[in-house]
Amino acid sequence: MSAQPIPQQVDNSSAAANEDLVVGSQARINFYGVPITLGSGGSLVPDKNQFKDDVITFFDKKLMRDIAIALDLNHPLLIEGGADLGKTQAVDRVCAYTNREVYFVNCRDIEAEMLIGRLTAVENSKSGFGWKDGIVMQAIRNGGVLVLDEYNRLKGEARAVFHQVYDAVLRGKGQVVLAENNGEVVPLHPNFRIVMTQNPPDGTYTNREVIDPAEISRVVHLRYPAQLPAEVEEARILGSFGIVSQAQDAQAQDSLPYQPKLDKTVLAKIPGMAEVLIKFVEFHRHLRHAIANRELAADSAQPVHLTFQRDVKRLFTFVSSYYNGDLNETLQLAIEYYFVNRFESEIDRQKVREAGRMVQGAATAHGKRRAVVEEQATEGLSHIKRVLGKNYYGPEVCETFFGEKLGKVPGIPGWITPELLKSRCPLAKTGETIGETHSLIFVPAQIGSRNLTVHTFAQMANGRAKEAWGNEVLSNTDFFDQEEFKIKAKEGTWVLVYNGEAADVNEGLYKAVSIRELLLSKGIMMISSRGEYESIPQHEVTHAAGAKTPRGFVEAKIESDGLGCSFMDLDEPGSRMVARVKA
Amino acid sequence: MELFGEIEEEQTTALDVFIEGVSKQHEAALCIAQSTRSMLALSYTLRREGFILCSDWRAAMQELDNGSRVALVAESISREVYDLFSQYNGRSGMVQIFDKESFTFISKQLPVDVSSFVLICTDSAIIDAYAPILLHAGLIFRGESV
Repeated sequence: MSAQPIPQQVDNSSAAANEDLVVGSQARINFYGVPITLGSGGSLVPDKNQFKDDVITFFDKKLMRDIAIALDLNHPLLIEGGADLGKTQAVDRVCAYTNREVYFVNCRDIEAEMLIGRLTAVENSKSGFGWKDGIVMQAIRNGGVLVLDEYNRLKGEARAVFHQVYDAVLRGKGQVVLAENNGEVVPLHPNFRIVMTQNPPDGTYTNREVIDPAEISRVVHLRYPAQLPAEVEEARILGSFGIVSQAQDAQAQDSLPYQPKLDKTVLAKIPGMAEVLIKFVEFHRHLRHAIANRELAADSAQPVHLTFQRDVKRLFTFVSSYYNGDLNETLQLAIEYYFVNRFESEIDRQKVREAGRMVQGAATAHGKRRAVVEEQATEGLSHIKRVLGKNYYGPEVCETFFGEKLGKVPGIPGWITPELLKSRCPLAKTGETIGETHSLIFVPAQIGSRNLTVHTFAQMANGRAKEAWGNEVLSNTDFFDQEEFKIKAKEGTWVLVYNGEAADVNEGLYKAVSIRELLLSKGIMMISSRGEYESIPQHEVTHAAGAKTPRGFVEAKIESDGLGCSFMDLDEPGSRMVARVKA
Repeated sequence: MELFGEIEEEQTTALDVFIEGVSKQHEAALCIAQSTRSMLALSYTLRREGFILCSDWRAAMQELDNGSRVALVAESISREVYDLFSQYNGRSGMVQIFDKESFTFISKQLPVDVSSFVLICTDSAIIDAYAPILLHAGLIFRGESV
């Protein structure tokens, strides 16, 4: 059976490039190609164990990716599709892996006061009477993901509750006013999100209402088919019996880039921007016209409604968050997400895609204009290098040592920021910073033409060490199972390793103190992964052993329970540090 | 008379298979009775087989949380009963229900691997509920108990 659906480490071509432009300071992970900020955890985060037997196909990956984009960009999201597609499970799964709490409510027969709250008998009040929050207010105050299941079964008064909430999210007001509780002003928690799911109101399902244009224009409406595609059904049954099919193995889409959110002044400098924006206006007009003339969505029970102003805001949010240096490519991704996905029939979707191709700029089509992003990446890397000093072991160090080129080098993960490195390390008794007590090491996937495994690394390191010092480097390759750790990754990975004192991993004398607590206290989770291997959220570097001031290379690979790293100290041939990112 | 006896035997066997199946599956099962009277008969049969009978969703949720085998007898399918049933299956035991009486949001990860859950109701209750109960059901038994 293939690896389970666990998000991958962020691929950040310009992560932490310019911390002033980085959105927030919380950690981000790459969730099926979407660089998403992690939530703050809590008792309502779904248990990941419940997904351990799930079969994840390209369809599920796309669904989760679409949800992750909406959560990342803070769009209220409405997912429409037939029963049994896995909509609710997908939301739960995204929340589980991004450490977000879920406030789930089925909208059947729900009343407004259950959503908002009411004045009722309470224990901690002199009068014995006071305000109690409903589900929506609890999610707003605590920063959870409010999941409204069977949304189009919501009735009048209860439905009206959400208009104020949508507006607070969309207009960036950041607060709602509780008229029912003497006009209490409740600020929106920054992690608060809304996801709605529903079956199509086409008569197949009873009591489903058609949502009015004013309401549907406030949300990002993504339509999925009424039935699962045949290849997905096949993949699910085959996968359930341990047989991996093409549909299960396939990737949904390429990664969106992680980058600092770009502001207007940066976006305005992107060559060809004005040209493609004018073309976007034409595209939008064309779609509105086609919908009005029933050339699009003619058979759709839930009418498609486009509002220019809201779509412009969405487009700006998408481009400023995910611009990858190629404006055409970024805009096509945005059009697919916001416009193609609003239509259910494949014919309509193709028509919208076709129309979307008009949003292309001649200038941007001829070359990748990555200057803005690359400039920031270089600045950010230099900054991190300066903070780390001798504790930085980037790809250039590795290349110098082996005298060979490495494979593809991704950017430094977004959660490794200069602020993190400058903050005090709780493991250090003398007040050192994390940048002083840890090493940032690049673990290559390939050295020259060879894939990096424990075995190849040991061979190469031994050869190099013999050449340099006449000594062999100790490498306990029997500690690892060769077959199990075949490296398939195309890219290397960055690992932040504690430079702590030795403990013998084989004797189980693991270092008791974990940096996980430190990272979690900062809202950051230590996540490591590489390439096609799935990564491990909430895993930790629990053990560090070996060198005093490491100056060497780390080797890492995925095991069933985590990422194992071994580190060779070049100053002390024969020494070995073992760090283990454990499940 | 002989024919009647055969039918009785067949129904008992089907119920036995159903009960055995419920214990092996991790999904909430549905037991649809023809009438309120046969609903009670089915309840007693399930109790005999080791199920804890509950008529209240809160009690059922508590027992499920303890890992018990639970039969919830529902004359009508309330919003909370539907929530419990559909989330037990659809969300793999992650059940979140807003209790209107106590005005509290209850969230539990029920141990679907060890507990068993059967909802006993009538056909008319399913029709009146206007909810896709059957879509969420794992095993379904329809018939009489002897």
